[in-house]
Amino acid sequence: MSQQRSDNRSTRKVTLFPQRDKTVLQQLEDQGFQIPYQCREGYCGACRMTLISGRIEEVGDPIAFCGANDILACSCKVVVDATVEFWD
Amino acid sequence: MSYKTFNQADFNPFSQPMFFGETVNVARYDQQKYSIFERLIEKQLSFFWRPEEVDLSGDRKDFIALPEHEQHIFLSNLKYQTLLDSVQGRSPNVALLPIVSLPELETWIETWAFSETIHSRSYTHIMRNVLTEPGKVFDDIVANPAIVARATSVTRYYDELIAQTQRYQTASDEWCSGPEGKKALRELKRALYLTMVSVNVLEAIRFYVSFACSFAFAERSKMEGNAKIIRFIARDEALHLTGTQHMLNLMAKGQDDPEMGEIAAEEQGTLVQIFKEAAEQEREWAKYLFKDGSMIGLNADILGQYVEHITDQRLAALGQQPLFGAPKNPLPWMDAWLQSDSVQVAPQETEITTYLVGAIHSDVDADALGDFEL
Repeated sequence: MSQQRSDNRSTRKVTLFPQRDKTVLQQLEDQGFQIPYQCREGYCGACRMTLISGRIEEVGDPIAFCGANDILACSCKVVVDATVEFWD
Repeated sequence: MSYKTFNQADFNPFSQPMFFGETVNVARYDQQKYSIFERLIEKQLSFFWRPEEVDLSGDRKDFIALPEHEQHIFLSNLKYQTLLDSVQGRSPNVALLPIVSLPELETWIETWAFSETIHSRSYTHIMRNVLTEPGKVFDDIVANPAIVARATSVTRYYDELIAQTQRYQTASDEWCSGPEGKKALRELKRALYLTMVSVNVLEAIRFYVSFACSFAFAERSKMEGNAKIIRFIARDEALHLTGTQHMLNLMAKGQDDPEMGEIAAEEQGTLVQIFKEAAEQEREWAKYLFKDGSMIGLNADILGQYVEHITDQRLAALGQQPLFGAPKNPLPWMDAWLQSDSVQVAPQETEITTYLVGAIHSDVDADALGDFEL
C-alpha cells in the first residue's frame, strides 16, 4: 500500500489509503512495520505519530496527548490518502 | 496566603489556571475547563481492580526454584516498584492538592494517587504470597544503599516543591502580593514544572524499566501471577503518564498560565537534563540488578538499550528531540505484555481489564427506536 518511503535518519514516511475496517496502526502493521503500542485504545500515546498530509478521522474516544500535527495510530482511520511519519 | 478548604470567593472557574489560581471550592464536574481530566478520571475508575483477584500460588513455587541471582533481580525490582508507588501514592496529593485550582484536575490528582495505593497494596500481596518473611524485604527498602539512592532522585523535586509551597502559604497576604511574593510565586511555578517533569520521568521511564524486568520472568513462564498484576499496574501507569503529559504540554503552551509558558521555555534544558539523568540512573540500576548474573532474555546491556528507547519515545511526546537517536525497542515482547487485553481467557476465569462497570450508551438517539412497535 505504501507509495512513498523515504528515510530521514530513522524516521519513515508512509502513505496510506482509506480502508474503512482498519486503523492506521493496523494498516502499518499489515505492511510489516513494528509500531510501538500499548493500550491500542487511545489512552497511552505509544503509537503517536505525525500526520504529514491527508485526512484521518478519530475512532473511539482517544485521551492521550496529541500535538498539533500528531495522530494516535490506534485511534484513527484514513479518510483521504494520508502520509504519516514515525520513528522506524 | 494560607490554604482554604472551601474558598468562599466568587470567581469564574474558567478564568483559573490549573495551578496557583484560586483554591477550589465546589467540587463540580458539570462544567470543565479541561475535559481531558474528567475523561482520565472516568477511564481510571473503569480500570478499578484488586490485587487479590490474581492468584499467586504458582509464583511461590517458581520463586523458590529460581537461582539466587534471579531471586536478587526479582526482589530488587519489586523493592524498586514498592518505593516508586510509595512515593506516588502520597506525593501527588501532598504536593499538588494545596496548589490546584480546577475541580476536575483536583479530582484527577486524587483518583490518580488512589490508584497508586492499589499498586502498593499489590506489592504486599505479592510478597506475602511469594516469601516466607516479607518483612525483611520491606525493611531493606530504607536500608539498601542502591534503593536509597533511587529514592533520593525520585523525591528531590517533590520535596522542594512541597517545602516552597509551605513557605509561600504561611507567608502573609501582604508579602505574597508584594515584589518578593511575586518572585517567590514564579520560583514556585518553576518548582512545580520541574516536579511534573520528574513525575513524568518516574511514570513514563522508571516504571517501564521495572515492568521490563517483571515481564522478562513471565516470558520464560516464571512468576506469571506477578506479571499479571504488573499488567494491571502498567495499564494504570499508561493513563497516569498521559495525565502528566497533558499537564506538561498545557503548561508549555502558556495559554493556561503565560508565566508557566515562559518558565517551560526557560527550563527546556533542565527538562532534557532530568530525562538524561534518569536514563543514566536507570542504566546504573540495571547494572546493580544483574551484578551477580543475567537471566535468559535480559541483561544490563539490553535493559540499557530499552532505557534509551523509552527515554526518546517519552521525550518525543513532549516535543523534544531524541537523546539517543531514537533506537528501536530491543525487547519487542514488551508491547504484547503491556497490551492489557492481548491474552484471551474465559471471562469467568479472570478479570477482563477493559470491563467497564455500569457502562451504558447515553448517546442513543430517536432513530435507534425507529422500528420499535408497541
